[in-house]
Amino acid sequence: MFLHSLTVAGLRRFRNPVALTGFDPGINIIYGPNECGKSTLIWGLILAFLNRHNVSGEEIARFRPWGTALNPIIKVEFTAGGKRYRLDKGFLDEARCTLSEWTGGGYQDLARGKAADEMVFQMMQAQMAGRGLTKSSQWGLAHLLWMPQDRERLTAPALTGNVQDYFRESLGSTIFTPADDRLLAVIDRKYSEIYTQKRGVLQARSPVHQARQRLEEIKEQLATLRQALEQVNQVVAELETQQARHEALQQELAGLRAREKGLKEQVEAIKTLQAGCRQAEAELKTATTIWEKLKTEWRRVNELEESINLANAEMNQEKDSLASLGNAWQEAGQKLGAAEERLATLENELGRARKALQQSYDRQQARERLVRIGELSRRLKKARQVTARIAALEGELARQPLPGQEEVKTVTETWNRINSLEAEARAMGLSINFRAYRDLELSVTTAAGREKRRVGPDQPLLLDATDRLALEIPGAGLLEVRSGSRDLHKLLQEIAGLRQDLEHTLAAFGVASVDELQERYNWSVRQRTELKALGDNLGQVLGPGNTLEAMEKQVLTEQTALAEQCAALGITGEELLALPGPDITPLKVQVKNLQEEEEKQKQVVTQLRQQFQDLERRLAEEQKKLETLQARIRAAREERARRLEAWGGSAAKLQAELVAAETARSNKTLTLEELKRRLPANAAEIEQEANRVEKKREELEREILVVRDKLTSLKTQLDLSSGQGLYSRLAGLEEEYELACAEYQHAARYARAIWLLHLIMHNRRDQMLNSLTGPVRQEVSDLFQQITGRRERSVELNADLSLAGLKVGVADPQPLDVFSVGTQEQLMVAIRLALGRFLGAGERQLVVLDDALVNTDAGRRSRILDLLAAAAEKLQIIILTCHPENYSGLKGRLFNVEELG
Amino acid sequence: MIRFLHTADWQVGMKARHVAPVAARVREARLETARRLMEIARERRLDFIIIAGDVFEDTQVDNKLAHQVVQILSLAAPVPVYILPGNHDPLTPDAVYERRVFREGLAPNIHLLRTNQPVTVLPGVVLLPAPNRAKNSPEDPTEKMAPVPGGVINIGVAHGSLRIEGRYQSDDFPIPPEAAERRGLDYLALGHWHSFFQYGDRTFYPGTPEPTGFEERDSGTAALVTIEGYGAPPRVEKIKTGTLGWETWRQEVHGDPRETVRALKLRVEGLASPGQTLLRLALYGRDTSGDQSWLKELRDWLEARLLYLDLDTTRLATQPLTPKLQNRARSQPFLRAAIADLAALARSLGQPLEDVENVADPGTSLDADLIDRILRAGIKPGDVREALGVLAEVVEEV
Repeated sequence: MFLHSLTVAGLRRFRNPVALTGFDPGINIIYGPNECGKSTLIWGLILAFLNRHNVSGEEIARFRPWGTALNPIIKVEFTAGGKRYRLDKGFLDEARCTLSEWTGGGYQDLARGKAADEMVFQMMQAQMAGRGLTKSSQWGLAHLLWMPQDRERLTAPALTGNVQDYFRESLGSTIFTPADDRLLAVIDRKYSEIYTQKRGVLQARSPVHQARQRLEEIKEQLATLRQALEQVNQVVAELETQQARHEALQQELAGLRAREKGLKEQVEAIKTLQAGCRQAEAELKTATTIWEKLKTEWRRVNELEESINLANAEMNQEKDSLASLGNAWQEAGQKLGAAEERLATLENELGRARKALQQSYDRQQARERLVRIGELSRRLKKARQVTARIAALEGELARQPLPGQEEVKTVTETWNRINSLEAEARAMGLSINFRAYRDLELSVTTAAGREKRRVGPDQPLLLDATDRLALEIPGAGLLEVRSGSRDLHKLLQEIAGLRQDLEHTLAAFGVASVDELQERYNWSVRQRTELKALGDNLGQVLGPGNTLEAMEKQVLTEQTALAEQCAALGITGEELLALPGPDITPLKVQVKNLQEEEEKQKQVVTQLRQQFQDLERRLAEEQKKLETLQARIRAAREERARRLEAWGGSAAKLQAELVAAETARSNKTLTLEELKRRLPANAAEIEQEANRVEKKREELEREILVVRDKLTSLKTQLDLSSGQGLYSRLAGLEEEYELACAEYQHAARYARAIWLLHLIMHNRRDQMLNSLTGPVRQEVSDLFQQITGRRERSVELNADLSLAGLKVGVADPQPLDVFSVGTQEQLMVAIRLALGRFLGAGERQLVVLDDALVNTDAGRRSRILDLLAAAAEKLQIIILTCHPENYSGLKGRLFNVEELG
Repeated sequence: MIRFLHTADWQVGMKARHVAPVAARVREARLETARRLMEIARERRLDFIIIAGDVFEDTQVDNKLAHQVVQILSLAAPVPVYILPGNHDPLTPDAVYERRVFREGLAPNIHLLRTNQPVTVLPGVVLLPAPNRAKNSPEDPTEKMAPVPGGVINIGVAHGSLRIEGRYQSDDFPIPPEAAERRGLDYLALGHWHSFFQYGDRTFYPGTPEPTGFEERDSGTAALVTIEGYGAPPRVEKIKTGTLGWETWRQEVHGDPRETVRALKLRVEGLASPGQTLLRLALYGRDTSGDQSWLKELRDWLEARLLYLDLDTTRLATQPLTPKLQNRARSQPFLRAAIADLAALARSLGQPLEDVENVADPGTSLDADLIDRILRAGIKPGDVREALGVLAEVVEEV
């Protein structure tokens, strides 16, 4: 379809009719400034070709010129299917539609009203809207080829509705019929009844899924049941094992019981023999006891007899020995008496010698003490002298006040300060240089006093004074000079204060001057030095830590002791001094000799005394022994008589009874030996074996009880399981499983068939669509590459021709909004031109580009203009722009909207 | 002269998963047959009944079955029934015969052969039982049979396989084929084999009285035995006892399948009691009609009349495309292309749909990735045929 003319009236800004006539079959550029009505003209085309004449509602009402009740009227002349038509359409209050065909001489009406609308829709492959204005997706060919200026401008068109078939026909491809669609729809429905759309997994509600679920449930039940049966088999196996074990144990028990019985009989016999043995042993023991008792008695009687004989012989020997010892004892007593007498003599001599030696020692000691007392007296005297001198010096020092070193220093400093201040005062004071013309004697009065001085031409008077000075010049007068300096006065006041302090201090120590004070201080220092030397001397005389009083006391003590010693010696002190010193050595030798002799004599006495005592002791012992022997003989005789009393005092009778007891004992011994011989050698082992067998038998019985318990338990388990009829249940369940399996297989086969059909048919459909979209994709990519000059870019389209993305190189397609707006609008233009090229192959088609290249740079725009010029050979292209200069290179018809109407 | 019923292998409580939909009925039929056996014995005033093992299918059958069997056995009274434990119901600790129902209050005519001790059933007639005490054993159960001398009729009762090459397992209680003669038995009543079988003059398997499956031959029988006296050869009458009929048929389909249907219907109507019949029917041949509605109709017809139908059409070649689908495919390129894809897939899976090639483009091939995806989804050649069937249904629906 392509246009020849377009007339609009009552449409937005075009109140009055506006006609665009003489459209070029190729390029047509409608230009004008913004809001001049360019897009309104395109909306005129949309209303005419793509909307019902009787459309109602707010949307169509908004096409009325603002503030008017005018109704949109559109007239179009166009060619479609090789025929020229005129469409006259009014809306709202003037709703009408007339389609006329050019017959050569004029237009002849073909259809009116709805029929006319439908014919036009058919030409445009458009779909009629139910209510309101049609949507762009319903525009058919216009949806593919017109690029309006609205928000969908950069959205690629999709192959929807009737235009699909038209498009396929145009391309000569295999056609999808509505029947095919219905076929696919039924298969899709069946597929979705079984599988989910998204993941293609089985729907929970699908029969195959439910059958599989049922199958799994039965499988689980079967497994449980088989496990239970297996457990029964295990119980049976265990039961059989336990039964075999029980049987074996019973057999073993029977064997053990028989063996135990035999052993116990043997043990009983042995026990009887052992009892006989024990009795025989007891009897033997009794017989032996009697025999031993008699034997003991017999032995004892014989021993007593022998003992008496032996004691008599011994007693005789003892008597002889006692007589010999008595003689020896008397002789020893005599020797001891002589030795003790000599020892007493020696002891007396030694006493005397020791006394003489003691007196000599005392006298020597008294003489030594006398010497010591003399020395002490001399030192005491010296100490008393030193003490007296110290007391005298301390008295002198205490009589007058004595300045300390600090005080002397302070006074000296005050004195020096006064002198210094006075020198300063003098420096600040008065100075007179008096040169007399003649010699004069005059009186000078200063602070130091009055004095007379002589002056003359050769003897000038040079005077320095502090604050005042008076010269009494004889014959001339009294000249007084006073200083007015305040500083000087202040200085003088300070000097006066210091002097007053100095005088006060000196007066306190009773001295008149500083030198005197210094002299007093020096004296006190000297006195104290002497005192210290005296103290040291006294210490040396007294000795360390000693005092005069202690020394005096010591002398007194020594004198008292001496007096006592002298009294003890029976002499006076004078006599002591007069006597010569004692000779002690001979006395010491005498005492020592006597001591040695005494010691020797003592040893002799001791030895003799011991001999004497030994003899005396032996005598006593012998005597005692003799007495003991006599007692023993007496006791033995008494005992023998007592022991034989039972036998009438006859030893022969005792002997006869002893022989009889011995015979009885021998008989008992023989009996016991016979019994022991009859006892088995391994009697203990037999009993142990019997006990062991009994123990084992008891263990076996306990074990059998345990096995019986196990058997009972296992049988109970079996009874319980048998009551469940596991096999019968298994049979039923296996059959149920078979049925469920068959059902599942049937459902699964059907589901697989549906899955396969769905896959195969959709695959085939996609293949067919790809055969359509392939060439378009290639064409769009070629055009886009020519526009952009980028050979690596290509376009990906979906089966319905909608844009899947833009590929750069071999990367995955990217969404369009990743690229610039300019690139997007260039791609949209390329798509329109490509689609137009395919759709225009049979008939020239109208392409509308409303402000399509506003964001395109000059270079690309130039290449697009070339493509548009080439496309214009088969397409009618209407370009709406506010920049006609951008299209100046294109040949075609220009329409200035501002000049219309 | 003595007359007794020799039966075995009742297999009460048997699983029937191979005919799962009618398993309960199959099990019930075994009890019905057992009842009938008891009635036969009582009505014919037989001297006694021997059941040579496997009364029960398993030791763990439910108590209800045990009670039912005891109740059935008591129906034979006053005819004594001697039951030998077999390899399916051996005298193991969990044996059915250890249950209270067999221990307490058992009807006086019911005797369980628990030991190998000879049992005098009548004056001058002794049973030499060999009860099985395990499910398997390599031992000969007749080995311990010691016939009672002195003109007594000795009847051995055992459960195991005769040691005939190819027909026994070494642990299947093997019995020497000449055991009866070797032991000096008048009759050896065996159980274990489900088909009626005779070896020599004195050794018999009575077969299971109620068949257990389609594969069994000469089953559904029992042995009615007459022995005139000591040393006389037994006279054995094979009697049919089965309640249900187990049929296995093969039917060729050739040309017009309606002929096949007609023939089958006639055959079924000729059965004594179709409602008690289980049929395994295998159709083979080639159906070129392109319309398989006859098959569905046949199935419906048979299922309505038979107790159970196991229809096997895996060897029946059919035209996978219905006429309508073929027509639509010719006029609908997309549908034709899809069918061609399915045909190509079938070729890839190794089972080409030859009849489809006429409709589809034989040059069509599928993308390797697509085939890989299909294979990973576990699609099998049969699924392609199923898919075509579904497609035909969809075409009918659209």
